[in-house]
Amino acid sequence: MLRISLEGVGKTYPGNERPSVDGVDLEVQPGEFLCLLGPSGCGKSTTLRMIAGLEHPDTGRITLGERVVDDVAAGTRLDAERRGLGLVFQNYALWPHLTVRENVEFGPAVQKLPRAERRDRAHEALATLAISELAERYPSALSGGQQQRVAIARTLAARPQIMLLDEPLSNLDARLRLEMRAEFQRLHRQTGNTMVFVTHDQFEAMTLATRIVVMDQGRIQQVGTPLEIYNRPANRFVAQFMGNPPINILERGEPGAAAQRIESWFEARGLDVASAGIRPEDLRLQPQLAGPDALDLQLEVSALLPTGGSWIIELGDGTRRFFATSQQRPEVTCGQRITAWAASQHIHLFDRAGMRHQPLEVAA
Amino acid sequence: MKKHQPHRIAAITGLALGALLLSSCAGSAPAAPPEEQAAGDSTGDFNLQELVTAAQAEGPITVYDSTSKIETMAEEFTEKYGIEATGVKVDAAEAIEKVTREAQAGNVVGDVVAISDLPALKNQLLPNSFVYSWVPGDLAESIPESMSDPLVMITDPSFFAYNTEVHDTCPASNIWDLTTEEFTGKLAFQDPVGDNGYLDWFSQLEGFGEEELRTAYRQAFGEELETDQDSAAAEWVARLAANNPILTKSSEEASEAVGATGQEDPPMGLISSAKFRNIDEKGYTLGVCEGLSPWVGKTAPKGITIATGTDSPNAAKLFVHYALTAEGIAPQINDGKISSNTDITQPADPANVGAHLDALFQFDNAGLDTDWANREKWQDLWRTASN
Amino acid sequence: MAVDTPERERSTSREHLAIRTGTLHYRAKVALRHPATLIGLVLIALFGYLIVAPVISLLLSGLQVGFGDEAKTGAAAGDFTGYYLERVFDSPVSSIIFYGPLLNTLLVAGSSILLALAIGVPVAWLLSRTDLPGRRWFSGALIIPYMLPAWTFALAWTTIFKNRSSAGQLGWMEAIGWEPPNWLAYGPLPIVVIFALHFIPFVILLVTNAMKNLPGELDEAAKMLGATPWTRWRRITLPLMRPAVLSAATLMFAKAIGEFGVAYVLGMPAGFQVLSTTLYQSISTQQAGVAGVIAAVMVGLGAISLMVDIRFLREARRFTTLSGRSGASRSASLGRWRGVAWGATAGLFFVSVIVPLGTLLLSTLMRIPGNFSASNFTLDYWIGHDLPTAGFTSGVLVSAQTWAAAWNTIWMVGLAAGITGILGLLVGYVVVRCPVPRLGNTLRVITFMPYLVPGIAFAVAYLSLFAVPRGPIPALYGTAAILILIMVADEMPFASRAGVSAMMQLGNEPEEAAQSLGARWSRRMRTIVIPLQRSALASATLLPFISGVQGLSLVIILATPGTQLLTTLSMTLIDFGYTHAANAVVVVICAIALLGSWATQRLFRSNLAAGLGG
Repeated sequence: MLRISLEGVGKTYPGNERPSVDGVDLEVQPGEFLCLLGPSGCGKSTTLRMIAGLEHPDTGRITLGERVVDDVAAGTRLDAERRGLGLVFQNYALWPHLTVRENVEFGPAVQKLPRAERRDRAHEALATLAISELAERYPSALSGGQQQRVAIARTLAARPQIMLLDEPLSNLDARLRLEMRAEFQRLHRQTGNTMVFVTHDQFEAMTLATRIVVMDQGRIQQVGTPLEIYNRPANRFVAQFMGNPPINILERGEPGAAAQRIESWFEARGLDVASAGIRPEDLRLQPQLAGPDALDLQLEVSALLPTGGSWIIELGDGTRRFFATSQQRPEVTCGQRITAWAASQHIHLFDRAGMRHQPLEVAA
Repeated sequence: MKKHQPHRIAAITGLALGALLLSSCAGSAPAAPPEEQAAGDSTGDFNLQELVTAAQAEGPITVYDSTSKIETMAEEFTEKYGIEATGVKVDAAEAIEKVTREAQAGNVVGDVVAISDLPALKNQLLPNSFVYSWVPGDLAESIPESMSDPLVMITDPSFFAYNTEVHDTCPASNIWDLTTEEFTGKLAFQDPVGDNGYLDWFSQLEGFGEEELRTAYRQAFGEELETDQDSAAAEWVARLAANNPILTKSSEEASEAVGATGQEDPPMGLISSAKFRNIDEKGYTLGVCEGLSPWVGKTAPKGITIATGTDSPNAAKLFVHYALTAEGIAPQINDGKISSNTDITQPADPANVGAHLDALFQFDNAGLDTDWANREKWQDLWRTASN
Repeated sequence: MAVDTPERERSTSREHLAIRTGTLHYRAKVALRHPATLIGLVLIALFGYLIVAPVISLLLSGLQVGFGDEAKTGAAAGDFTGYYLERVFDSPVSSIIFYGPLLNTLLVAGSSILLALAIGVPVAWLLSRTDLPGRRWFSGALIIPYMLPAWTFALAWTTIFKNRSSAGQLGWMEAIGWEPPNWLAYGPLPIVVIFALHFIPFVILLVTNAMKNLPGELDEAAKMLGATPWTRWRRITLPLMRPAVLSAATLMFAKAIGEFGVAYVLGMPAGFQVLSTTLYQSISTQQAGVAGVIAAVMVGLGAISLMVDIRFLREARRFTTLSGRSGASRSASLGRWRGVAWGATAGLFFVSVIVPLGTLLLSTLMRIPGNFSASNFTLDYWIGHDLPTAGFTSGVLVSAQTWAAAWNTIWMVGLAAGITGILGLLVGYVVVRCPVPRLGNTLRVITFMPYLVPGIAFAVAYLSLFAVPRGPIPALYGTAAILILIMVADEMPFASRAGVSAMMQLGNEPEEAAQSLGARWSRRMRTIVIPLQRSALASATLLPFISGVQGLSLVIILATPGTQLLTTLSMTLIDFGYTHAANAVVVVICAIALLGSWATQRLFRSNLAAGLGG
């Protein structure tokens, strides 16, 4: 169990104008299961690869535990093979010319462990992942899920103090993803390892991580627990990135009836903000439950989409769409004009720079 | 292959590029040939037995020549004297390049160099002392003066030839005939633009055949030659080029063009004497154009020299001596080459070279410098005239 | 996602610039510690010596006074002079030795490429995307023309189509009573046709490979939208093939410029000159200066085509990211056209393989060419004893000389090809892994250079350069090493292309996975990279082997005493005028090339297309 700390870490690939990672400061606590989340190209994988030592930053400092592994100013630089970390690759990177056992024994072999111990380690790792029976097969004979397990076992067998996972679930189908998510959680509990994983899938991040780091354009946008991130997004980007269906954003000055309504709502409260966001589950359809301070919108139901346990309701004001979700069957029909509303404490306000408008509760 | 200790000439360049190559050459020429030996041997006090003894004390030798026959010659030399000799077939152009580079590197591989490009030998290899010419004292009398500086080993005759299946006698009687309409597209020979031998021959014609060419012109057309060209030779060459001759890659192909059977209207050709053996080997019907005025063919000389940097100068000299004896040169003169040693009787060959010796245009060493200087001129003349 | 205000963005990028300059030094240090950087530097030094130096010396010979030209130029040997430039570009013979041949070269290269593409691309489609009968067999068989020396086609052509303009033996057409006109027998038309036949395997290899990797869905998507087969082919398949087609065109262009034998044999009777023939004439009359200038133009032409290729490839790269994971491509059904397609493909096989090989083989079995009476046929030139040909009295198969030469060929060419393959993979490794992209790109450009330099000129440059000791390197001339080195240098273009594409395909991950488990570089190479690239290595070795076995121009100038190769043996036999035996040796050469490639493909599952870097 090690702490990872990044201070002012940046990296620009040769030939690129923009830095891929731009002044990232981050502390990963021992035993934490941290997730780097963001759209593709946001710098999350580069950050992970710099922690792993496969890339080196050109600004800043990276520390693992007490050991400084990268320090541009001091000229310190430790290569990946000397960091003792484990990395699970997105495409697994199993070596097709070695059997599963040989793949898994590679780490212990590199550590020059005695033959018997290598075998034990491999055996244990395979057992942990419940794939002992695959030991003598070649990777090409395995299914995607099995390959994933082998890739993890290979990393485990080396007993790394930190485990890094690069989009570990993106190549699996939905059922296997669920299974592997549970597996990761179990692994994390069982080993107590510090684990850092990268994903672009917010659902994966929400369900697995103890803390999430949302990144965009090479910078950290917000760090927090899944619920903090979801409930108190630090800026418009985070608000829009998290949540499915996405948050309904109302821009000041937009055309349409709803925009006019929110304009007057802002003015009535003397709010100097640029936009407001309402999560679909906070957009309610029963006007009788609305409190006095609620924002009400006149909307027409344009579609009802059952998703099994819940419903997605598409609404419109003639110029744009809104989404609402409901755990119960909504008592509305298509084409019906209704009054939808949101409680003021559920309305996220953002200033012109897109940052969270703090004094919301005060204003209310 | 034998090993030579390379002279460690001053470390010339680092990992330098070719830029320095040519300029660094002049300074690194090896020492001049041992003067007193060369001088002494050419006069009367030559002693073959002493040379053999000295040669046998030396290492093996390698001989460059433009024909694969050299392999046989070298084997027979080894058999006769017990000195290991290796014959290597090297074209004239390559030989020049190799000898130059070997001398510069002090890494001599070819100890004896027989080379058919005499102008280059005279103007490039000899003045830089990469090789030297040595005439065995006991044979000096038998070698014509025009062939002793540098020493010529053999001359290679080529004959104007015709197809004896179709024609009973040669269809041409004068080489000017070949420039007339009757022979348009009807003379086959090797592409002269890519062959120094032909360019040199043109130059030699200009230098030594002017009179005969003008006389022959009179015989052919009954009038004096009037020309804007520099010479009768240039006029003949230009007319020949313009007459759409059949150009081939090799003399072998020319011999096929002329001599293959079953042709209705075969061309004439200018063909190396050695190719007349195709009469036997391939059934070609080839005949030397006897009585062609002023010459039935041309000769091309091949010089023989010794590499200045050789470790085995005496063995090399012995080989030169050997190559000028009937026994030594047999593999080459058997198919029609002519030894520069006039004492050697020409053996029978398919072209019957012995019978035509006097009707051949003879090469003269005196023209070498002009030949060398004028190659581009003849190449350009041919190109512009044929275009 | 306007999180940042414009001001903030600008200020950070300015900060970033400052940081960047400050970290340049650090960057360099980081880069230097990567093993790929070190390998890259070593390779650049090596190829600087093996490739760049000879090429520069060749080009310089066009600017410096050569030996023996002192009088003409009025300067000392080695001085700089414009004499050769003037002679080539601005003299009375310029149009004959340069401008005319230049036009002819471009004409021949352009037409033969178009013809090869016009035939090759549809055939590649038939082989990879349809239910053509016997397509597996054809995929192998149609590559054979690449393994035949180009001049075997020229030999076949003259044997069949020659007419009275070159006199001599009757051509087969004449023998059956039809005299082919000059435009069919000699000059541009046959040269273009032969080049095209010789090049079609390039197109088939590269395009088939690209088509196989093309996701089937792309075509199906168009089908669902109602596109006709022709529209799909024209709008979807063909544009996606553009990178492969361009690669093939570049490779063909450089080959067409440099190929000398075919143009010489078929062009001369028609007075049709191309750059390579004037280059040859200059070299064989020792006009190194003129040769240097012409070679420079040829290198320049090749370089332009390469730049065009790189430019288009960069544009085309956006296609490749789309492919991702996808279902296997499905075969189109040819329906009633199956028979026609089979006939056309078989016809191509007949024309490009059976005819040239058959003519060559027949020429070794017939005493007098063109005479088809039974008594004229013989096996003497193969297995006879005491033949009348004094210099070579046994048949080719029973002669000890043949076997010795065959063995020399196999070990020397094999060794050179092996080294080439390894170097090619190393180049690929540097290109893919080195943190300094410029290093990899430099290597790519350098290793492609030999492709642009005609073989004879390259060999002459080698001879000039390596006859003398250079710094720490002893004089190599006169050793077998120089032969192997020049073969290695000459075959690097394909090997490095193959290496780059193999390494790109492998990607970084297998090595990084080992690195993250703590494996040092040597171990990663030993246990992961090299074993994984075994078949790529075989592919990268195969092509150099095939062309090395037939390559003549390099060997003939640099051959050393006592090392007879099959190619030099055949030249010796031609020198004697023993055409039958010489052709028989060429048949042996073809057989070795064929067997070699068959065996490598069997043993290592290598693939010729991979060897081309396709």
